[in-house]
Amino acid sequence: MIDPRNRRSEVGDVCLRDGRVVDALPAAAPVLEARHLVVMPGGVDLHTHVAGPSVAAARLLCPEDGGRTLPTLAETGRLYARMGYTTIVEAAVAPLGARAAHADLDAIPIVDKALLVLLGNNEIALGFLAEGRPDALREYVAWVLEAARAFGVKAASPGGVEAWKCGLHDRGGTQPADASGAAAPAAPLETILDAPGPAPGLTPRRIVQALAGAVRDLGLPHPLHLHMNGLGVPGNAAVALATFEALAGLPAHVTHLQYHAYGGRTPAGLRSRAAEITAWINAHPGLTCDAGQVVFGPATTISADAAAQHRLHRATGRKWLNLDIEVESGCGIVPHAYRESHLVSAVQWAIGLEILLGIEDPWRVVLTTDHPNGGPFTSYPHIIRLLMDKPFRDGILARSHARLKERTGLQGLSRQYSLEEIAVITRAAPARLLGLESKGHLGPGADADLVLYDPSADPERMFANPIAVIKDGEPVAREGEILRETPGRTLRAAPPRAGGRARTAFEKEIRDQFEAYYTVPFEDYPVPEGAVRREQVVAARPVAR
Amino acid sequence: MRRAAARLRPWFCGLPCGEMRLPAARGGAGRAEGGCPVCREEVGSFREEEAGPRRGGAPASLEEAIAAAARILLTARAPFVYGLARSATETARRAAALAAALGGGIDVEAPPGARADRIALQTFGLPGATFGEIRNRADLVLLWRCDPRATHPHLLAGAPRTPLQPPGTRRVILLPPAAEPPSRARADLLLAAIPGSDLEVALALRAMAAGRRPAGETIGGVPAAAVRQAADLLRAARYAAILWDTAATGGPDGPAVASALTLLARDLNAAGRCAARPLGGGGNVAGAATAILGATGSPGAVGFGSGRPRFAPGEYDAGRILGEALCDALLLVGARGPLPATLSRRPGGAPRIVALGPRLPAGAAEPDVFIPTGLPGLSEEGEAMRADGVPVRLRATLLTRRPAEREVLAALEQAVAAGRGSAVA
Repeated sequence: MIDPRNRRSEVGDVCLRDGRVVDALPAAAPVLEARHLVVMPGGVDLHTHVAGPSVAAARLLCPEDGGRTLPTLAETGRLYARMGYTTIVEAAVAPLGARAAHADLDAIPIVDKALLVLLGNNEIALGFLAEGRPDALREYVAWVLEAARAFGVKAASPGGVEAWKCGLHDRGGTQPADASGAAAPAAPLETILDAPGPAPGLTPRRIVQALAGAVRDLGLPHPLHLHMNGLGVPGNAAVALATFEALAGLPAHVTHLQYHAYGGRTPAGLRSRAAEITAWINAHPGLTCDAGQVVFGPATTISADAAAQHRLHRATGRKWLNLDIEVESGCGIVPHAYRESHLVSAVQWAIGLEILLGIEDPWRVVLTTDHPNGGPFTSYPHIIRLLMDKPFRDGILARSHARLKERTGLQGLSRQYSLEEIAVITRAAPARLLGLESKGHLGPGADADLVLYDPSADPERMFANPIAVIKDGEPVAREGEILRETPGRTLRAAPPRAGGRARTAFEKEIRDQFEAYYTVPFEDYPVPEGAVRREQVVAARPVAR
Repeated sequence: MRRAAARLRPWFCGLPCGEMRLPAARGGAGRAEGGCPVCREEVGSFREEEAGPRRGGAPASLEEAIAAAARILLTARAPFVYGLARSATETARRAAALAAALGGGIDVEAPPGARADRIALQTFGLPGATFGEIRNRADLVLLWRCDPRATHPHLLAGAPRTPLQPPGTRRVILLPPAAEPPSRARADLLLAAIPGSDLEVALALRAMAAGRRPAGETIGGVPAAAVRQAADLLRAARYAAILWDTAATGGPDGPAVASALTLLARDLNAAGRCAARPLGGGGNVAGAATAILGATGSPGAVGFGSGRPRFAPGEYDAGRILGEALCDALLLVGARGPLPATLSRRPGGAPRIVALGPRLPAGAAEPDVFIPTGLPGLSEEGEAMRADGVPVRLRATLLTRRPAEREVLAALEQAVAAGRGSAVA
């Protein structure tokens, strides 16, 4: 068994009872013989896009996808389960769409699910910030989480979507390059962190710090989930490094880091600055990330960072769907394809691997493709082989674009992941970063979600075709065949809220905002009790105030 | 029936609609006030005295009707499920599951313009926004063959403003609905295009917004100078919005009109901001399509004959299936109609029709089985989705003796499953 959290990498027994791992079982208990197999906890995907109005809009936009990157809801659960993943997090839902997102999550079988709500451009939240009311901001975050029955908070390009809605395509006087590669930033890109926002002082830097602080102070299981500003823009590694410094020790998880580790000034000149990014992370304990690895093949890009999606549409000429969402957020969708022979795609591919290989502590980096942005989650076994097998990745490097080697440092990275390290970045670390005590390990008290692999195959085959997948103690898949479709649970946080008159007064204030700016009634906004089929509350952490 | 509450937030138009008041009445919702004409018609037509399942036109118990419906569906070679515009989203999800279990086909009813809008969207995309965002931000609105200010005053009420932005002003360019005399139009700029000239005007407007100068002094009956002025206003707007009605895209050139307006808005986003949006097919067309998308990967016109969902617009499109009577059993769920004339003639009694819903769809002859149900959003709770993709909560304002549509469909699903099981046994 490989159970990194409990420091167990040995031959032994795992005892399961009533859906949980237990210390011991009676001698007469039935035995599943797993000799010569590898047992790991079920995989945990902490950043994926599989549910809600944005994903539905992507399906509507792209019938030609044929399920390659946008599987149906039922197939999503089956594909994850076949691969040995048992917990997934839908990482970007505008609270206004939470009702539909939960209906979708309910329709995804087998796996446990959770959703993160978008708050980095929420005008009510930003209003509290502009007014200098951190307590009101914290109470609002708690209210939204409760209303959306959500697990955590995501900020996508904080302040950037609001700027896009206001007609500012580029932040802080910067001019991200277009497809022709003609334009170059007029000012250092990192100044976008201090660009004037829609209200005085409402800069991305301040929004990031305030939301990270609010999430910390509420004791949410997962820190602020941060999609940084400047996604996809050449030279944006400067923004990432400035953001890391701006966080100044505040807890945060930066997501799809690959899209934020770019050097160069134009797409044609795109190069990797992953080495600087990973060096910073290696030198500063605390910050965690996921990769956002791209894989060659079709993708569908779906992001709340609507300005970035508009830039991608302009760069590629592909069809583009935008949805500005009242008060809360934005959404952009552009179908895409990453090609080995295309220099930008190849550099992106290499940067993701540089991040995964360059961060020394596997507990601080998680395997994701930002599904379906970097490619489908079904490519995780392929990425695992890339991480475990240097000759394999060197082979792809050799046949990719001729100028790739001079743009990245991938060739110089000799690291090959061990099975233990793979277990960390695919289950133990994401479970820990999500604050899920019962996930990602095989110790007593853990959910009985586990996977049996045949280690004799190459890593890609091994992780693509588990011998058996067990969810809540029940076998759900065997060698690629789904045995049963259990419903799975939906996890949500329950942060503390003000009580009594303070609560009443606060909700009155929110109600007034609804009547002025929303087109749905205040009382119809919260996802009602009973609307989520199998719900599980994950307790907030104790917080010292 | 008794009154449970007198106020209702209607959803039947698929737009953010005004609150309705339901005066006390026996046997139905009575003469409802508020809302829009579509919602008043939907609510006012709900009559409980029509309650009671029928089989072959004769009264039947609910159990008998469900059993008869299941027999019809189980013995069909080519069953087809259709409608769902009046249904809650969960019902559409169930309907897709039933179509899959039957190995039949399914499609969502929508006006021709909505199909044209979807073709444009799937070809070019759509730079859209929710209705609330348009109300909050648009300093210029181009209303194309529609004027929602008349039916949905609060959709564009007041000055544009957001929690972070001070109030501004809003101007309106109106290309009036074909049925409306232009003299009655209220607009800062009127484009009185002659009927049938939408594509010509839309293309010219896009060209002018891009800085080109099409030849001619008039375009579709509109002075070229007015079209140029509209283009200038759109380019100068901080946040423009283009709204159009499905009537504008319901003709043979509908996909081209929708595409031209989409591309106009797309161009305007190169330097400024512009949101474009059709007003949609009404009811829960968006929610039903989304539910079927999630279940099958396609928004409708899906066949399950091969055992897997297959998106085949030319094959499973309701226009073809119903128009050419290519199904031998038709399950209507929450259908509004009108239905093709072939279904009212039904030579040889084919296809056999089972209808569930608050009332028979317009144009439907007496079906083989009819099971009247409650009306989601009036007497049934549930979820729906507006045309702009915003999910809405449906509340049960009236209590009724009628069974809920979703419960009847669930019972039918069970009866079909049991029937299939016994056939296998």
